[in-house]
Amino acid sequence: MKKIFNPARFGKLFIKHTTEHYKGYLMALAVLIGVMMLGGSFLVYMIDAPLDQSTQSGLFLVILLTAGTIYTSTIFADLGEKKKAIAYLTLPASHFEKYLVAWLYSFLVFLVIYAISFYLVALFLLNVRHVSGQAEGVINLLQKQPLQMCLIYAFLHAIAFWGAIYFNKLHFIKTAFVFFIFLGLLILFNKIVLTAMIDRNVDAAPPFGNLRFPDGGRQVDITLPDARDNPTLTFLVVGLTLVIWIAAYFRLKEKQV
Amino acid sequence: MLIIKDLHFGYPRKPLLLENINLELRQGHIYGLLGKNGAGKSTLLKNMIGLADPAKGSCQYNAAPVKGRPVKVLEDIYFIAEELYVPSLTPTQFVANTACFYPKFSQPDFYHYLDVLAVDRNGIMDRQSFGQQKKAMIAFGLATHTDLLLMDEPTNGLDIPSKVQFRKLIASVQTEERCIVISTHQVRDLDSLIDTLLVLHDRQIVVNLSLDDVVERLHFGVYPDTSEMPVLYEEETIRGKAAILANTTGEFSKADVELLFNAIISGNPTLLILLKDIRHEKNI
Repeated sequence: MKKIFNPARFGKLFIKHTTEHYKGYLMALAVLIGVMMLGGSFLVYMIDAPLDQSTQSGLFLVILLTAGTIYTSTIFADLGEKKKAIAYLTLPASHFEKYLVAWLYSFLVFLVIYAISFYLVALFLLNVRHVSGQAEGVINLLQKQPLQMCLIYAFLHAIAFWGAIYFNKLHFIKTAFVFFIFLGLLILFNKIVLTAMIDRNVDAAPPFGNLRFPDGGRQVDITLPDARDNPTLTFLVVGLTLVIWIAAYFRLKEKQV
Repeated sequence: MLIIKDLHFGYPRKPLLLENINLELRQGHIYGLLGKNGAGKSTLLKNMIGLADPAKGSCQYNAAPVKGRPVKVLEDIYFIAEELYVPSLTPTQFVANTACFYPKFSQPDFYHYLDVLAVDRNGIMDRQSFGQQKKAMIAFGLATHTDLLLMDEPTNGLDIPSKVQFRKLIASVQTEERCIVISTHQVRDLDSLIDTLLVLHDRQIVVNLSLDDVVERLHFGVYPDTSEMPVLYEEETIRGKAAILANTTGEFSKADVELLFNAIISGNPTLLILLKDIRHEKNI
């Protein structure tokens, strides 16, 4: 077991990674907070819109997915440069320990830091100017909806994480490209399957989405229950996330220079 | 110590770079790995530390496969690549975070080597010249006291005094337990250091001999006129004709490794057969 995971060695690796990267991370955090402040100030001062819970939720999700996937795509950037890759891969620590440090930083540490930053920025913006109609405070990040957003982030994180290891350069762009190609193919496949199942020409839609098809002169729209409350979909997302994380680990193990 | 058996390697979608490599590295030796540009010297070193996986064959370090880069193997092999990465830290800070991964690392030795190589222990490493960076990493690599030390073109970027210091340092740190492999083009920098010659040519190890065995069977010299001599290989130099002859008198000469290398890669058939015979005799 100690070949795969040694707590003391893992701790040293975590400290080494922190020491070598903390300056960059602090700068990135300052930029993230700056962007949230700028965007939030624009909403509060220019548009004069109340920062209600649904607006905050939307902003929380968009910034989380954007910033999180961009950051995750850089976590293995060292592997794209030969000299850095040699230093990284020949360091006497197991692949699992190296993987875990990267995963912890790009997923858990990022989520916690981001949530705290978002909370503080939202709190500041809600108190710096009182907009008429502003009845609600900062969203509770421990409620069901923000937690579901974290699940969506986990799925996209897994994809970005795998791409960060698989590609040597332009990790974010290449991973996003592959993801959108795959999504397009999935939608097309879904359309073909549904058309075959109900023997009608259905509109293109993602799996587990609504079913729309023309019937006579009208458009029929069959709406499924809210996807967020669909346990099958949740199970599928969790399962896929775990599979992609595991695939990323084996990709790291096989990495050559 | 390190045994390579029937190793074949090629990068994806490219022809084989290494073919049928069989090699055993033993403790207490300093191997000089020579080859033309693109011969596969760096690739062979990468196969030794698990940075490249062979298409066929195996590489084992102390009976443990190197493939998969197990921690136990990485703790006892240090690889100084030709292109080095140094973080934005001082040598002191770097050691504080990295030395702990090598069980036999010696901090006093590290600082001693830094002093010998004239490297500032408080200078930010990535702001130093390439030569200074290289010296810092050589000091670190030596201080790990790994039993196998692989160095790819270690004297590239070093000034002449640093090369002298490097040679003295390597000679001083060599022990009966340690094996050092130095891949180089600059043979003259290291010919007084190496005791075993490995030549990689045409995808294979064509020479694997101690220099003692070489000078036992071959004679090296510089002569004004070699027309009457049974020369195996010769080159014109400023001082005369540098020549290799069969050693029939039993007198030992200093091996001219660069001349020998040139003779081997020129494909001199007589010399190659002679070297193969020497190897065959020693293996028996």
